[in-house]
Amino acid sequence: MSGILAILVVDDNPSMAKTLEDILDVKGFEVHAAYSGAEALEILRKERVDILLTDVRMPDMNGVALYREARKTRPNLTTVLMTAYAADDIIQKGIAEGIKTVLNKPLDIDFILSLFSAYKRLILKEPS
Amino acid sequence: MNQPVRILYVDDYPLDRELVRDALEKEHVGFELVEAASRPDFEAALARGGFDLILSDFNILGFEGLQVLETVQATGLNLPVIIVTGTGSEEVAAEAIKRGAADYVLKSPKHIQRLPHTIHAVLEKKRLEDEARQAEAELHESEERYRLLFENSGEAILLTQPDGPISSVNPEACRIFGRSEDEIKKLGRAGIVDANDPRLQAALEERRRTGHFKGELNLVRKDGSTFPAEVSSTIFKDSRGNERTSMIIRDVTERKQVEEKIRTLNAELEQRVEERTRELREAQEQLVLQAKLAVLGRLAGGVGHELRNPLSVILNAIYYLKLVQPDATEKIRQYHGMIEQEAHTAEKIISDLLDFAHVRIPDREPVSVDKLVRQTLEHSTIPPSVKVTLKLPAGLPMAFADPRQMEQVLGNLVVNACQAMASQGSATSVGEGGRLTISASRQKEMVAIAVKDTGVGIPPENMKKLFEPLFTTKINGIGLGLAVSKKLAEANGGRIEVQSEPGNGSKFTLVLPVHEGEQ
Repeated sequence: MSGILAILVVDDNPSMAKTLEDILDVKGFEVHAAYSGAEALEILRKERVDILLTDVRMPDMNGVALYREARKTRPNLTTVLMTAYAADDIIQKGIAEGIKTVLNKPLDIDFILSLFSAYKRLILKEPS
Repeated sequence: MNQPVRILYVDDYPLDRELVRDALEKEHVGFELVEAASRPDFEAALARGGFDLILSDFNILGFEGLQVLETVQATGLNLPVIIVTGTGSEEVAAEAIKRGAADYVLKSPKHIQRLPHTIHAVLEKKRLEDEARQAEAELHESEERYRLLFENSGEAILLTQPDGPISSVNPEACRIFGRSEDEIKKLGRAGIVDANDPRLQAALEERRRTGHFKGELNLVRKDGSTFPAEVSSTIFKDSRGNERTSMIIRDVTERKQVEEKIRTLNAELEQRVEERTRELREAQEQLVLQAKLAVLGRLAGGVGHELRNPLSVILNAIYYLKLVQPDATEKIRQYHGMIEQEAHTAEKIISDLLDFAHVRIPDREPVSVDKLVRQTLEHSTIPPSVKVTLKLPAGLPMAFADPRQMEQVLGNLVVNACQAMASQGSATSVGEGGRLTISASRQKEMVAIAVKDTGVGIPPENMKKLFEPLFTTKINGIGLGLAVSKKLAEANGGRIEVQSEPGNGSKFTLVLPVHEGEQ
C-alpha cells in the first residue's frame, strides 16, 4: 500500500471536477476525475480509490445512488458528498445510509484538505 | 218686506183703539194688529210672542205705560215700544223715552196719522242697531280668537315696528327669552337680538327690500346666553296705515344640537371608514409584498442554488492559481484577491437570498452575549479607521437563541453600521472613520444588544421601509440584510429595534429572550 491517498472526484460540471482534480493533485493526492455516475463506476472497477468525492445532482445518477452502486463492490469506501442544495432530500437518504460528510458549495478547499489529511491517517494508518 | 209687521197693542179705551186701528189700516203695507184691553190680556199675548213691536197707551186702568215698558224690557227680547198718549201728557212721554221707549205719538187725529211712519222709522232704527250690535259681537269674537291664538301659540310672537320697538309679546316669547312682557317691550329689538350676529344686517336689509325675512339668527336670553332661532318677520300696515312688523320665533337649540350630533357621528363614521380603508390598503400592500416575496423565494431557491456551482468553480480556480503561482507578481496576487473577494461577496448575497427564502428552523441554546458579540466582531471586516467600543457589563444573562443565526444578525448590523460611517472620509487614523459602540443590557425577560454608529443616520421616510425586503439605499446591495435579520430575530423569539436621526447616527438593537433557567 502506497502512502498516497487515492481520490475519485465526480461532478457533471467538468470545470468543477477539473479544478478539484488539479488542486488535490498539487497537494499530493492521487486523483481520478469522472463527469458522470457511469464514468465513476468504470473508474472504480479499474482503479484503487480510497475516497469518493461526488456531487449529489447529476444527470445519469445522483451521488447517493452512485454511493449505493459503489458499495456493492467496495463496502468500506469513504464517501463525501458535495452539494449546492443543502436541503436536498437525497442527502438525508445518503446520511441515513451511512454517508458521514456533506460539503456545501462553494467549497472550503482548506477544510477539504485538512479533512482528507485526517482520512489519510485513518485509512492508511499513518502515524500522526 | 212682504211680511206684515206684527204689533201688540195695549189700550183699555175702545175708541182710542179704533182710532189707532183706522190709522194703521190706511197704510198699504200690512200691519197685523193684536189688541189687548187689559194687563192679563197683554201679558198672555206677550208670552205667546211673535211680535215685532209693542204699541202702548200711557194710561191703562190699573196699569201704566211705564209698567208695560218694564214688562217688555224684562222679556229681554229687545222689542221696541212706542207710547201712544193723550194730549197734554208730553212730559210723561218724554220720561218714557228716557226709560227706553222707542218713540211716542200723540193720540190726536192729526198726530196719529204719523203712526205708520213712526213704526217704520222705529223698526228701521232697531234693525240698524241690531246690525251694529251683531257686527260688534262678531268683532269681539274675532278679537278673542286671535287673542287666544297669540296667547297660546307654541311659537314666540312679537309685534314690532320696523326700527325696533316692540309693542306686543306673547307668553311663549317671554318663556324663551326668560323675561317678562314689560322687560321685552322696554328693551326693544336691540335687547333680544345678538348684535354680534353677522347675519343680522343682511336680515334687516332683506326685510326692508322684500317686506319679508325668514332665516336663522342668534337671540339673547336674560342671562346673556345666546341661542339659535328660526325667525320669520314680515312688514305690514295697521288699520291706521302705520308700518308694523311681526316676528315669529322658534328656538332651534335642540334641533341644532341634534344636527351637531349627527354631524359629529358622521365625522366619526367617516373617520372610521377612512381608518378601515387605510387598514385594508395596508393589508393589501402586505399581501402584494407577500406575493412579491413568494416569487422572490422561488427565484432565490432556483437561481441561488444554481449560482453556487459556478461560484464554487471560480473559487476553486483561484485557489489553484494561488497554489501554483506562489511567486506571482504583486499585481497578479492583487487580481487573485479581487476575484476571490468578489466571489465571496456574491456568495454572501446568495446566502442572504436563500436565508430569506427559507429561514432554517432555529437551533436554540443558551448563548453568552459576551461571546456572541466578540465572535461576531472577530468574523466581521471592520475598517481600521472605525473605533470600536464594547460596553458589556458583567453578570449579563444568557440569551436563548440559535448562536449561528444571531451571529449572522449581529454581523449584518455591524456591516451596516460600518457602511453608514464609510462616507466619513477615507481617513485611516483610528476614530476618524466614526465610532462603533456595542452595548448590552438586561430588559426584564429580554437581553438587548445595541449596535450604535456615528454614521449618516436614516431619513424618517425610510424608517418604515427599513425591514422591507428589497429596500436598500446601498449602491451594491439587494436589500435583504435587515429583512433577513428581522426574520431571524423573530424566529428566535426576539426583535430588532431602531433609533436614528439623520446626521446623528443610528442605533439598532437586537432584543433576545433570556435563557429560561436564568429568569
